[in-house]
Amino acid sequence: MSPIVTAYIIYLLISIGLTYWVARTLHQNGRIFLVDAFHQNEPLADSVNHLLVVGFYLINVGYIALALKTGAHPQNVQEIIELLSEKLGVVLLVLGGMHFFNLTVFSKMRKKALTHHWMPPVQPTGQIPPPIPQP
Amino acid sequence: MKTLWLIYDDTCGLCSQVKAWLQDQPTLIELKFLPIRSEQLNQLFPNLNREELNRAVTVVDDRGGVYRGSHAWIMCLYALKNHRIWAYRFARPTWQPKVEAFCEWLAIRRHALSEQFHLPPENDAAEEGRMK
Repeated sequence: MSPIVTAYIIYLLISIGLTYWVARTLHQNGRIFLVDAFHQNEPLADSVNHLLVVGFYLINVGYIALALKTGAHPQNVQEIIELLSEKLGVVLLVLGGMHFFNLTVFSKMRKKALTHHWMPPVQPTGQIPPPIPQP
Repeated sequence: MKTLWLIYDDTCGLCSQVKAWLQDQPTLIELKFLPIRSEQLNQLFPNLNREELNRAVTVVDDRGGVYRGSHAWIMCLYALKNHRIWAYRFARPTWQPKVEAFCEWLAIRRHALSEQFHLPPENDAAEEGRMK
């Protein structure tokens, strides 16, 4: 097996392995955010969680596949490691970016749902007799 | 809190546009709208001072609590499902003075701004009467 093919195989194994790990983390730990965001509707939260993970895989594995090809010609182990380091570095940054983006979205959804239970932000400045209920 | 009444100037184009937008939004609390000179307002809230109602927009809740100016707009946002978070932002102590000043500035210039931006009021007949 040529050095470049070795590099490709290691790159794919590590990248896809890392993607699987991050997706699992989001799936398990993001669930509680979604349950809150959907007012304790667990079936809905699980459904959305699963759909989001599918999207996450599509985008990340897609990027990994696109970024695989290189013009470099590593001749020895050092050059293989350097090539892998570069490529994996970008993959990790992309995964990290997606991860924080997901967290931001989960957090906003949950916060919006929580506001449904909050009291008004201001107090009335005046008081009059309450309106008589209309028929 | 289940209902809020927004008492607004229907001869003002700007107020009418905002009211139309509010009417279209999904709400967490029922938002009802009463023009200042309406019969319904006299029946529901005979105790409110008409001059004060003309000076600044007013919201009344179902316990009789009265909110004016920027607080009235904050309560309108509080009623909306998708914009409630903005009610809390505008109510922050650091934002409040500017928000209050801006609402007052708008209230004073509302008719002039409506004319400048060609915003049609709900109640055209009353508007013509005012301009004559």
